[in-house]
Amino acid sequence: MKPALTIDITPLLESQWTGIPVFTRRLVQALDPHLRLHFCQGPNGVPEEAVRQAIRIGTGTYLRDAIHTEVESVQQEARRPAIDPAIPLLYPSVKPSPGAVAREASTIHDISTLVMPDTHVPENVAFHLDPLRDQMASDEVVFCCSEATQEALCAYVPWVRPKTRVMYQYVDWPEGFEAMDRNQPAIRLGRYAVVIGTVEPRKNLRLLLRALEEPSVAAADLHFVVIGARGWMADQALAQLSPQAQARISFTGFISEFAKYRLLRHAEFLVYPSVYEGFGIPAVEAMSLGKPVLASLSSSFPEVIGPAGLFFDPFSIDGFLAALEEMANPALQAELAAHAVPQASRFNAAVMAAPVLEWLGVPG
Amino acid sequence: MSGGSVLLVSVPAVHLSGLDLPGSLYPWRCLRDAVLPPDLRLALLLVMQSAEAQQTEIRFVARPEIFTHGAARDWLDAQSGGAQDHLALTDGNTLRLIPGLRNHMFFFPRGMTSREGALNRLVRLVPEAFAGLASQVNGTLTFRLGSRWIRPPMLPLGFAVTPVGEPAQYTPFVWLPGNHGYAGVLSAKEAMEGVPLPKPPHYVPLTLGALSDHPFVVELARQVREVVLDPAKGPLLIGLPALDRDDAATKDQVEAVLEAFSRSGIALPRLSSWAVRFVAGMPDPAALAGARLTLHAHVPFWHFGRDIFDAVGEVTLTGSGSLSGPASLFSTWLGRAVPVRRIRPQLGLLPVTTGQVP
Repeated sequence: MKPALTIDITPLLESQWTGIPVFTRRLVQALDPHLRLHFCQGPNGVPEEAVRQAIRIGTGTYLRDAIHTEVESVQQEARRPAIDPAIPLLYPSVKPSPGAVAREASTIHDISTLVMPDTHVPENVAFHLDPLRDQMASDEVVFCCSEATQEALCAYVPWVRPKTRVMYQYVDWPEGFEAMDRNQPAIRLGRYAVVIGTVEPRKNLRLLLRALEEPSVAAADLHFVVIGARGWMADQALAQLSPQAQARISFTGFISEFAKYRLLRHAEFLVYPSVYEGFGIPAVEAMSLGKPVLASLSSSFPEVIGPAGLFFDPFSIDGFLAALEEMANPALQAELAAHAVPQASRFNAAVMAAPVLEWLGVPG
Repeated sequence: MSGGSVLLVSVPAVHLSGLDLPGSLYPWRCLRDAVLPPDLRLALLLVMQSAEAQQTEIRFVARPEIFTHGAARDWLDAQSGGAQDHLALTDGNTLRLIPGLRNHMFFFPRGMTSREGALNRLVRLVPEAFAGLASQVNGTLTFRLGSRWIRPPMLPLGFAVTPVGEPAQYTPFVWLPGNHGYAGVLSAKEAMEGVPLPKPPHYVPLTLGALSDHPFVVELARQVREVVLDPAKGPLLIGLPALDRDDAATKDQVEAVLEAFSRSGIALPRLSSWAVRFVAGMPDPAALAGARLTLHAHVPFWHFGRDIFDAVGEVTLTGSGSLSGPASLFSTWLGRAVPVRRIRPQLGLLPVTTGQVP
């Protein structure tokens, strides 16, 4: 019989799955072949079928409805199944109340709320930091999403180092995307690079906006497609650009996974100017489609992107322009692209599951 | 921090968002020409002057937290000119460390209660990070971690000459019971520069931290009453506290002081008086010649240059809390023993605290 593990699926209650909800979904799918999974939301059990159905659908709306239907009255709430304290419990993110079971583990995605609180709203800082110390103290294992996160965390909390394990996530495009893409008309954007980021300070899109006014970028025929919401801050920043520069950049807003897949698949490369990331899954997404990445020399990027990337100082416009010019060289692009798929395939379901299985003493 | 080498310095990144930096490492001129809060600017001036005196080269690093390990860290090491030390100027929201370097802290908004609260919260969250500091500049942070008392070594830095800022503005004391906002407006309307003082004043600079020390405020309010009723006992010069918001004007600073007086329980006369006057900004050292300077433990003493401490006739450190740490630091900093006067509580009315739900 497979060993049992309870996973807190609270992140899956989000309506739109990006970031941590997607990480949680992948974690469930990576561990499913090896373990007998139970699910919970805080101290309460969640029906397994509801979670699996939500994963099939890809949204938390169904899951919320399923849970609420179960607990429409006080009596029903009282009858909700509690988690089994004998089964280890894994939190894919913050652990709000430690000590629910004997063996617990949680996940640290990054420590940006600790080291760059200026890029978060105070409520988010409090949500992540208030329980952090108790969370780690009560954990048997603290999973970190990259070596960079592990090192950063241990610089601030040295005693946690023996408990830490790196847990890399992976990319899993739906199987049908490739065929669906072939059946679509060609994308008519000319030469373009996809950009991940918003105008918020941590995402550092401002660097690209500054670059658009530079003669070397203005003279090139490369267009930049930003995957992400435009927002009023972007409007303000764009208003300061010349009409020619404005015409070189477009914002997709929130798009489907398939639209993202298509944009990445037909792009020349990905630009990832973010100042700080705990892992950087968009880089792996691009690499999985054979695209090189132009990324900040920062935090987890060198570790995750490796030989498939070209790096620049995220605060240097000259450094960014030089890297952009280098990336325009087809020979270099091809050289980097050759490393992209092998680098992306280093991150797979087995790699994600391995540290959890090791914690539970299960042969991988 | 050793002299004659390179020192990496970081400032709270929130102040960099509007700057076009040349790179992750940037020169002093980027900050020198930027709009910065006065306390941060003073702290930077102090660091720059001290580094110059020690022939230490300063390189500012925008986001030290992104260079923790691997290729990014190798790059920083290659660019940092062999720096072994990193000084983090902090506003209490975060403490940015560079692993492997000697990290030093300069908490510059001393006396700003919200900033001190944020720092204390951070200490409770990651005490080990503070325990590993090589020094704290002009600070007295002390905390207990398990059975150990931790106090990062103090590093006293001071100005020889008080930096010249905006000319100080003087306003009269105005007391309108129950209407401190309007009293602040009336007082600020009378603002003047360089009002002559009939004799050396008793100067009491304030911060929000000092104003939250109830026994101290009671005693100060008592002195205000004495001077207002008998101007011959003056002049009493009250330094207005910096407020924790960007749009604060002199009237708001006066109001904050009057509000604190109103909570003291000391009955003040409904009068306006220049014998008690408020001062916004740093008074001219000449105006303080022979003065009596009372410094609360929550006042950043390093804002004053040695010229002011040489000019005044008497300096006293005060407050109702523990004064051993501040007294030790201040005496070391000043190079001579500083008289300490601890104010005993239970003067005036007891403060009342209510919950949010009656």
